[in-house]
Amino acid sequence: MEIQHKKIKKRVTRNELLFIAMVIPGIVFLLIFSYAPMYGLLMAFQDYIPAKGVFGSKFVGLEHFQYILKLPDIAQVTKNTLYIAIMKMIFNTVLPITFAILLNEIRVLWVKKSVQTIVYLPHFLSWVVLASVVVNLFNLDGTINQILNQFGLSSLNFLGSNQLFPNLLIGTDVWKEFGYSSIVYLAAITSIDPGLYEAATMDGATWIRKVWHVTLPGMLPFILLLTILNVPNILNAGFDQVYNLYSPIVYKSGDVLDTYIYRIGLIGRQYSLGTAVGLVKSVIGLVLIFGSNKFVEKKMNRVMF
Amino acid sequence: MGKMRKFLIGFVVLSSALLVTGCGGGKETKNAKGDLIVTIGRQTIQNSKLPKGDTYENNAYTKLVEKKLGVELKSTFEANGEDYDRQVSLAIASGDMPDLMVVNSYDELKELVDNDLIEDLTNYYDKNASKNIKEIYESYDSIPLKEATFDDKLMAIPGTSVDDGPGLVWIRKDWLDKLGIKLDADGNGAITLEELKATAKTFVDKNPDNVAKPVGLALNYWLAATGYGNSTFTSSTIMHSFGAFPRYYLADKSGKVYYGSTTNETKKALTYLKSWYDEGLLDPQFGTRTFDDITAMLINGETGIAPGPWHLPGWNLSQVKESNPEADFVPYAIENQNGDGKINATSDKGAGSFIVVKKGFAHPELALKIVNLIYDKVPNSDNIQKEYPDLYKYSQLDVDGTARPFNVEIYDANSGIEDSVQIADAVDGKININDLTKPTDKTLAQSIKKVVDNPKDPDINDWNKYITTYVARAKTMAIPRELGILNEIVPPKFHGIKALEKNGAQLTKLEEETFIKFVTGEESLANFDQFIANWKKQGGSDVLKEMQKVQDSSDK
Repeated sequence: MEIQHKKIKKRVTRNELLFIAMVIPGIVFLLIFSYAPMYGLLMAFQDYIPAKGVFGSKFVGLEHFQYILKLPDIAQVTKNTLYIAIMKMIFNTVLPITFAILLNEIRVLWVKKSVQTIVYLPHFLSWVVLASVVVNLFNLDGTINQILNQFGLSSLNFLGSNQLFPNLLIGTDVWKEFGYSSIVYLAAITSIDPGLYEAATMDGATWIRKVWHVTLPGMLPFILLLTILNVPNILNAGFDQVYNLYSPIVYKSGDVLDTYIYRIGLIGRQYSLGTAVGLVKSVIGLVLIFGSNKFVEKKMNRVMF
Repeated sequence: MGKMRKFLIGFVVLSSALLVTGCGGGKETKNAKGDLIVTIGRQTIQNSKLPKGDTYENNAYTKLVEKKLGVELKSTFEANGEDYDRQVSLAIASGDMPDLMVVNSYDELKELVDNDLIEDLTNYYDKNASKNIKEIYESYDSIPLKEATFDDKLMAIPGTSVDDGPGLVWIRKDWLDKLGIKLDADGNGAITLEELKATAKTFVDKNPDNVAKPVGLALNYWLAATGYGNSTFTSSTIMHSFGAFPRYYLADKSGKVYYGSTTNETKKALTYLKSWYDEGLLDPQFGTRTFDDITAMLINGETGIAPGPWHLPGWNLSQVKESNPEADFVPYAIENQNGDGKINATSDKGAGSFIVVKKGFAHPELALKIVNLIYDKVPNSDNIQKEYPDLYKYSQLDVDGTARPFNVEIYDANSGIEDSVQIADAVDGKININDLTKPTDKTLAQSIKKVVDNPKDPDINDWNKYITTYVARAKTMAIPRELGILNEIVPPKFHGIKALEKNGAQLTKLEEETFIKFVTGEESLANFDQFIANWKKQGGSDVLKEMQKVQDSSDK
């Protein structure tokens, strides 16, 4: 290992310029598309008027932030957002890991490949398309209810019930994403030293023991990394999905920050308000990502960045 | 290092060049033929009925504009329905507006004016608008022009909205005939709510199209709307029969401003709708259905009742007839619940939408020239068939109004129902078709006569004209007017209410959510007072206060 490191270091110093050049497009891209538009954040502190632009509009200080706090539904909407986002995060971590481990056990290559392909697919469809599929499956006279009726159960109003709707959001999102998320975990499994498995087999470990003592610890860094990267999304419950599936009847349980602000802000053309919410979300995200990194550093002695 | 630097500089220059070209300057651009290229925003519709090969950018109207005015119209954006308003919002927000576009609300217009984004059209109107166009506005006592005027400057060309009379409920006529249901025995064009309910019940029980789950009445979740054309699939017409006018801001006799959704009458109407829901006559999926869902239900024969304006067949029910030629509809108004034998309706004469010209556009007069051409020269031509053969073909094919450069209506205030009655008289042989003064009326009468003379399997476009002009307007809507039983409410005009801009979306959310719960029984109607209190607390009081000031100052 040591020797390899030295070799790389040598090559880097020799071709320093080349490596710097490789980074430049990325930096320029970031500067243009991520940093330059940041001046627009000023909108959050202004009474933004499009014609006057960011530099001509009047500053109003924290007025919009105070208004957000005063919005009558903000507590309920934040609660919905957190519930939906956290549940999605939990299931979107546990399920792909389980799936990756199980898939890894399949030895017949073509079965493995075709299963993989099938479960990836939904990831590439947009919610605009999938929403109509979901609606057809889950509405009152949809396929799922027809099946329930076959078994003598009464129909469930998945799309119109405040108890069922958030769970429908979580369930369908996990269904859409678990296949694709499992790719990373599958890659993590393949990077585990086969020698460890052989040693475990020599010690008489069963399949479940090997998963517990070899596979999972080997995957842990990846799991931690992905979880930390996901934490800032805690206030993103998925605009596309919610917007395409919800209706006023489930506002109470399904309205999330993004959809709420979209209706209150963009439709009413209150741009500053929208920006203010976006800024709050970003700041919370930033705090969370540093926080979780620190937490992992302290408790598990690992640093992600 | 020298090479490196060159590479770096080159890269940065290249990428900034790419960025800059994105936002072009305001220079005049001409096409290969030397015609001026003018950009517009276009509202589209899914079923435009444009002949094959024609597009929104390239059709009989755009070709006419190009031929007569030397202008090529290019779409900056084309969007359907609500999406159009979103595109307009985005265009305003980004400051990247088309040269000409239509905005559908006064608030948008005001925002454009406040931000100095559009041209003052006062002089252009005086100089360029044709005599006929000016007369059209005068027929409304110039109300539309006043609405588009700010500080004595005319900032937009208003589309007009004709006084349309009572809202209608469209019922499957072939089902009524099949099941032997007789409605409107007294022939006043209106039925009672009891009759409507009994009809819905029979439709559900007898299930004439033999579908899996027949539905009596399917409604949009917003339940009620202002503006005549917005009444499609809402309960507005039913609500009005209770003397309830939800979504309207009104003034009582003493001049006190109140909100129609918070009245006792609205509570009664909601209680009544709940009884439909409880009896399974109102769609069990009420609250989650979209507009398209309900259209699909009508097409599939799952429901046979559709509340909506007189022009509903033109762009919606025709789809039902197209997929099921047996389907036929008959419109009714609804009589008041209090038994006074009258029919309540709202009269909202004035501006419907506004044509605006982007600030700095070199040829603002073009907006008026296009309006003159489309709304004066063409309809007042002595012989449309000869002078504008392509447009004549469009009227035969019933091409949707969105094909025009601006999707607005600029028609005489007295046109509407009076014209329709004359057309009907011509069709019925009471007067000669050739005596009709307007050429468009002649073509209408000819198409309608085809259906009246030969009602079996009519051409779908002829049927549209027959059912809207002849059946809905000339009969159902004109009769209550003639009988003097039409009770029209005139809501005061409130514009640019600040509290509404700030709290409007939140208030709408509260109302939509609560009303759905009231109807489905998730929340008891005993909490109606609580709803009013919430509504007031969340900004409603401020809205009313601001409106009261406007009302008080307009009284003096």
